[in-house]
Amino acid sequence: MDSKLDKIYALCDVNSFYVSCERMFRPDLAKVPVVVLSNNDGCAIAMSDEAKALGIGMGAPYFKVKNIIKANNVVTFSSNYGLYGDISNRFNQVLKQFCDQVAPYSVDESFLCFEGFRENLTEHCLSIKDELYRTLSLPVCIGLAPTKTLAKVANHYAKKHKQSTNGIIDLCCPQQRQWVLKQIPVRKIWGIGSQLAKKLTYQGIHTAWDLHNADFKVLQRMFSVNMERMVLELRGQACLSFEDAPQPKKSILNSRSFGQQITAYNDLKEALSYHATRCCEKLRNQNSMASSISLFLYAKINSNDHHYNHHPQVTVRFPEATDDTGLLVQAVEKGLKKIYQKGTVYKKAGVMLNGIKDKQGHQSDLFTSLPQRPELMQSLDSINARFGKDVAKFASLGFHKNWAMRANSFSAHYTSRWQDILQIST
Amino acid sequence: MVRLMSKVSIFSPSGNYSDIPLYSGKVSAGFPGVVDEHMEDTLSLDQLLIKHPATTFFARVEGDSMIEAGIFQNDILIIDRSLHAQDGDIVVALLDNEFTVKRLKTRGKLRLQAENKAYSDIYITGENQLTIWGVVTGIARNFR
Repeated sequence: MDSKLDKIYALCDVNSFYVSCERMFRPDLAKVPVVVLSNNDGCAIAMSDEAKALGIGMGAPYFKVKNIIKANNVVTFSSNYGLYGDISNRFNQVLKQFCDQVAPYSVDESFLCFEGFRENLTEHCLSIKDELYRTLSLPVCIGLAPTKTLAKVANHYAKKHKQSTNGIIDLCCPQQRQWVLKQIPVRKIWGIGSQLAKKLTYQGIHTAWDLHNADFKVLQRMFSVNMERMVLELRGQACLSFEDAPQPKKSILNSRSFGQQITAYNDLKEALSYHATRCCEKLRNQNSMASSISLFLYAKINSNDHHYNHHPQVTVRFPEATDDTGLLVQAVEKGLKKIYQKGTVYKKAGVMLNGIKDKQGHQSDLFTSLPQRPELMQSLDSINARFGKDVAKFASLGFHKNWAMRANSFSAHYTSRWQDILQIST
Repeated sequence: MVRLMSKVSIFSPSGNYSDIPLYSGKVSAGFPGVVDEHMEDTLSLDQLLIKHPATTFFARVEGDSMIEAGIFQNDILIIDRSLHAQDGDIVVALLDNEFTVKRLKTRGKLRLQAENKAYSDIYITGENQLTIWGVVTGIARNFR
């Protein structure tokens, strides 16, 4: 335990990440309310502080906030995941210049681990914050603490009190920790969902400080989650090691509502092949293979004046696990033929890969061996990484995209397409 | 296909986009087996032109105010945002939240200098807000 105490964790999190990415290339929007919308422009998934002040909340459906957006000239963007992914990668590379140990936790937050030097860590983090703003226009908050759970708490507090903390807070000192934990509602603690928070409230545990002081042995008997670990982490005893990396995904899903209603077999096939292709890229990215693929459709049936929803679904199993896009696309065609009904109106389609296995442990079955083509997949990925998404693709993806999403305020792919780079007047 | 040029032979670029193979030592034409053993590394334009990939961005030039510095319309600017701008650097600046490319002058009065006699210098006063977005470290241009 002692050696763990010497480590200090920092959680560095970008404020309104998607908005900050958009603003990097649109400095004219620095003080303007900005909202980034989810796929299909369905709801708000990132808001600038100005947009939050107008009452636009996380996840607010577009149609509910449309009037606020129009009345206040809020600038909206469709989500540009290519851009955000690239900036996220750059964010982590800059962090690595300041700290040997960087573990990305999500697209816009990373844990850092400092060993050995405790002096001036706040100042060191201030340099990180300044450098990220200067070189990538990313505003961040940083929480420092002896455990990852406390670092999360610290980050949350710094974000809520940007003015007084200057975006950085260190919870290594017990007095400071007590002061902050008393102000954090228990539901804001990492790993505590709304249901668990409610139950804890019934036990008289309202704040993070209450939980810090709770008898974890009693709680452990009442709840299935690891309360001991949570309480100890709040007390400053590291139970989660820095290396505790998230497990590879057990299933991979891609789905999208159609921009318009779809009835044609070919349009559906294109859409599903597209989703299968994306899933398969994610699969290869995490070095896994899938054992089966499921297709699902959302159909709207109108008959004799009453409507009902129909969700046809089919699963195609592979004789052995695969990460070959071509085989997945073949399976899509096979499966779709089974569930497709002519004349039905489809609203949404998706693909899920299941039975995900680590590629390293995979052994090819001598008798059922599939015609896998790892080299082809590798070239496919590298061509598309270099020249753009789907420059090289399987023909089933088609060329029309009648099914494509409705998103209509895309920003440019500033960092991934030559025709989209910034234009600057001299 | 293989030509001797002092100690370095130049191959026509293979299928690779920006990697041009570099060979060390003398090689004889027509014996690719020998060549393979001497393969050392590949020349990468990215490596030559981009010192800090995480903070380097590209932008296309519009306008003629920098032509005397050899920067023309449609050139692609290589912008390193990690460098600290110094007097005389060509920079991408944000002037009142608008992008522009100019030479930064910090000696004497702070100003952005055009490289075209038809344009006058922009002096930065208390009323302007100037931010240096990045330093231009190079340009890329195709002739055809």
